[in-house]
Amino acid sequence: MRAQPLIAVFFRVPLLVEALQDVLADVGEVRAFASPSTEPLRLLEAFMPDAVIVDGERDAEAALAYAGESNVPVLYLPWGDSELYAARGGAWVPVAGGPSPEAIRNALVEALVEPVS
Amino acid sequence: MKAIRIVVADGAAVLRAAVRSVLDREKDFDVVEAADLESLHRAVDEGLPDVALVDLALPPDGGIEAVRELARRGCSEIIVWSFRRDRAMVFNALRAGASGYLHKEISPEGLVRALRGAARGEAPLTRELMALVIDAIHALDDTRHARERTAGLSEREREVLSHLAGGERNKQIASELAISEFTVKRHVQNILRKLELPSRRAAAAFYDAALSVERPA
Repeated sequence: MRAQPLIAVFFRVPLLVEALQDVLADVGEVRAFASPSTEPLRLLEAFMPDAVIVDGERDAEAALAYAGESNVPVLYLPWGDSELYAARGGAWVPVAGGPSPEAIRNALVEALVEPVS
Repeated sequence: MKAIRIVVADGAAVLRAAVRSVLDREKDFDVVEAADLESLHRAVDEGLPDVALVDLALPPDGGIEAVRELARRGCSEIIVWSFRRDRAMVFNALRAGASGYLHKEISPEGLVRALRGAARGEAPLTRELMALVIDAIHALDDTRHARERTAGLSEREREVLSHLAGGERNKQIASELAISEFTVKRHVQNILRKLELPSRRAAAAFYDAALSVERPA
C-alpha cells in the first residue's frame, strides 16, 4: 500500500506541472509524463495512479478509459477552454471553480476522500 | 541587484501560477499577475514592468490591443505568448509592438531564459517562429515584386486576372464584366504578354501565389 496517493500528470504544456507541484505537494506524490505518450492507457495501467490529470486530447481519451476501469478521479484541463472537467460515467463533466490550481486541488482532494462511482 | 519586474497577463490562472512558481525560484524576478486587460492596466499604473508577458487571448478582447496599449505607455519589452503558431498571428503581435513571441508549450528553463533575455533587450523568438517570420517577409517581397509586375496592367486587365484566378472561362468573365468575349480574349492575351506568362493557368497561379497572399493586418 502506498504512503500517499500517486497523482499522474500527463502534460502537453510543461508549465502545468510547475503550477501543480506546489499546490498538490500535501495531497500526494506527483509524477509527470510528457505528452504525447506512446501508449497512455498502458502507462496508466502499469503505474496504477490514484488520480490522473491530463491536458491533451489524446491522453484525455486514454485517461477517460482508465477512469472507467479503475474508478479513480481523472481531471482534464483543455487549454483554450475556460472549464476544468472530471470524468464521470464515461463522459467529461465541468468542475465548479474553473481551471485554477486551487480548483484542481480541491477536486482531487474531494474525489480521493470520496472516490467517484 | 534590482529584480526584474515582470507582469504576467493571462486569463488562465494555472499558467499565471506556473510562471510565478518558476520565476519565484529564480530570486531575481518580481512577478505581478493580471487576469485581464483591466488588471493589466492597474498593474502598469503601479509601475512600468521591465517585461510584460501577454497572452494572445487575454480577456476580454485578446492580447493585441493590450500590446498596443503597453507600447503606447512606454513598455519596451513586450512578449506575446500563445498556443497558436501561425504566421499571421506572430506577425500581428510583432507589428502591434511585441518584441518577442513564445509558444506556451515552452519549457520552464526556456521561459526563464527568454524572460531574462528580454530584460536585456533581446527579442525572444523560437527557431520555428523565426522561420515563420522569415517566410512572411519573403511572402511580402514576393507580393511587392508581383505588384511591380502588374503595375503595367490596366485596371480592366487586373480585373480580368482576378477572374482568371477564380478559374472562370472567357464567357463567364465577359458576362460578369459586361464586355464581349472577344474583348476578354484580348485582355487575357495582353495579361500573358505583359506578365511574360505562358498560359491562363500560369496567370492564375501567379495571382494566387503572389497577389492574393494573406497579408498581416
